[in-house]
Amino acid sequence: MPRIPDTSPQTLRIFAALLGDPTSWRYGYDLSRETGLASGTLYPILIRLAERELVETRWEPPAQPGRPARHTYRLTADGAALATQRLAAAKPAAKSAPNRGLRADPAGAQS
Amino acid sequence: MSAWVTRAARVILRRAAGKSVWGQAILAELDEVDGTWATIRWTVGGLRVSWRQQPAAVRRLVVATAGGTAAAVLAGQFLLGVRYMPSGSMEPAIHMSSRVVIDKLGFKLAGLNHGDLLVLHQSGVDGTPQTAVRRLIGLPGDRIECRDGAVFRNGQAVAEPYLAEGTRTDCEPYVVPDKMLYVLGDNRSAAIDSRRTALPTLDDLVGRVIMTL
Repeated sequence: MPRIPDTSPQTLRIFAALLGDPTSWRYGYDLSRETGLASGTLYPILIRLAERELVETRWEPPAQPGRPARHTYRLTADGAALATQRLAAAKPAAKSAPNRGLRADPAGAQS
Repeated sequence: MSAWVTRAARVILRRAAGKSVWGQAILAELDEVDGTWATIRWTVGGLRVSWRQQPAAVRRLVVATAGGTAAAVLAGQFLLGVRYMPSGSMEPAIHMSSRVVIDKLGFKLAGLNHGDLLVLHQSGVDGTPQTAVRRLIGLPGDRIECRDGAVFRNGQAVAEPYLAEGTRTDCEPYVVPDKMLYVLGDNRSAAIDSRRTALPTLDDLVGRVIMTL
């Protein structure tokens, strides 16, 4: 059976976080805290999603002078549609296969 | 502590990020990260991301250089070495001031043989420690004696084609104790060896000569 892309528990957690408020721009560190993913896991996924234009990125000018500009992220329309669909598909799978469902549950946070 | 870690992390991430957008993105978040451990975690992840952002050719070059250096250091430490021959005690097999390549590991796996050229620590005539090249004549349990200028091992004359013509060896009869080695220099009239100094133990062995340069 071919693997369906964007269904890893980590990607689903990022989808869930970004779908929380789909129009707002999110910071990497906030996403990291919300999803419980380390930077080394979070950013490679964001990079892949951005390359496929499922996530758009923007440099936000610093709030105070002297602070660095920050990179921010949000789902594109395509990305939001895919994220919704993947999260919906993951839910019934969680019921039918409880062992795997634990890992796919975005609220399952870190083990 | 935490401020110090953050400063170090910023320097490291800035170096690693270079011009990579994503490396810069991770660097910019560093101010938000709270706590020493979280900062270290964030930095390590950032390094991985910056690394993956490098072109494959750069990554291959860095890995090959680092791997090659590590292999060379390890080989020099444990496998091979080059030693300078400071004296004429092994003439004519090894000339004075030549260099020898030694194997530091193989002999431990394959064992020692009579006639091997060994590099070992021994004490000189005045007791100062020195590293010397000597030929292995007796292994533990061997009975070494000299008759009419020739070496006998366990009652049999030892064939020594490597000696200069006309070389005579004089020695006291000796039974090599456990874990010790009986070694002689090929230049029998000049060499300081097991006829005059304490026998080297297996721990004194540095390596076995595999090549003369």
